[in-house]
Amino acid sequence: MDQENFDFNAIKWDEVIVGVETFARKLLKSKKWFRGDNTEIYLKGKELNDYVHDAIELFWKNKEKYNPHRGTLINFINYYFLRLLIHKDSIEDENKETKDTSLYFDNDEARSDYMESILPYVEAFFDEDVDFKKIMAELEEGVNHELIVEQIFLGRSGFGLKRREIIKEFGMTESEYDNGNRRLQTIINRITSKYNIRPIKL
Amino acid sequence: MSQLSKHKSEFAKLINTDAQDTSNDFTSAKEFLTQEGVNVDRLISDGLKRIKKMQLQVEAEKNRSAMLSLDKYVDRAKEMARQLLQSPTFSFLDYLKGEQVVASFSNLQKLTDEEKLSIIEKHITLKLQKEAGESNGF
Repeated sequence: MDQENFDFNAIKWDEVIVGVETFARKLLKSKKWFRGDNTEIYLKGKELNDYVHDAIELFWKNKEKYNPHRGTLINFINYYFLRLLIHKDSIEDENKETKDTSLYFDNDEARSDYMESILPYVEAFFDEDVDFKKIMAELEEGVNHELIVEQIFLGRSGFGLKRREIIKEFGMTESEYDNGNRRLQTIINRITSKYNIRPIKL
Repeated sequence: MSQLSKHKSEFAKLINTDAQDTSNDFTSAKEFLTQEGVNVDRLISDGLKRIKKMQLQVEAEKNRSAMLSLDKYVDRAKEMARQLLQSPTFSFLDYLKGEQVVASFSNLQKLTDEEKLSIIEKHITLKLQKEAGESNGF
């Protein structure tokens, strides 16, 4: 979509609603290992869906900031979604550690795309005390019996590759990717559920 | 990057790419939400209502601030017009000529002071708006 031709009716809002809700749930709601285990209905006093719509509204009020060259509209709103959560977290009274969000909010424009820009925010949700080396070693062990699953795992964790990039890079079919990805999800869920990864306080 | 940060970063990339990929693929995203027990049709229909309402609120807000901004110019224009008319050297006809305001001379002769004031106020209001628009890059 051209930035210049941004009009309300040109946006596929159904895809945005489903896409951002999916991102939110994938990262937060159904994962006990992510953001603690208390996110089933409310998150800091609001439903997850409220944050999704807050992010959509924030985008709409600042739509001129969206740059299609840096990623899809859904990537951009996902990025706003996570920033809202981080910001909300940082201003909580119970947060005694630091309220400095400059680490995450500086130099956004310098990053090449929204997928990359969002990474510090995603990382910020994980506690430093967790032994990620051990988790990654277990994951590597878990995926090394199936070539396609291993390739998807390496493409993602090593290079942050997207679906189409992995398909192209490793010469697999879409169906092989989708099946492999499902198996990878099962492995990730099995391994990470053993760890009680607590949320970090900003 | 320390080893700890490296592994944490790899883990974050793994989770992020999966969440982003699925979220950008409408079919996969709907499948995922359905598996999560979400009524996707309802999610979309409720979401569209919220977005429509949001758009109307944003538009209303925009109109309200445009109105507030217009009020600001009108108040300033009134004050400037009053000061102009009070000036002993002020000539209405010279003013119109200097500002290149197009008007019919025969009609101008019949104008009351109140009507002259109103013309000057409107002219200054438009001028202030134009100047503000230009300075905002519109």
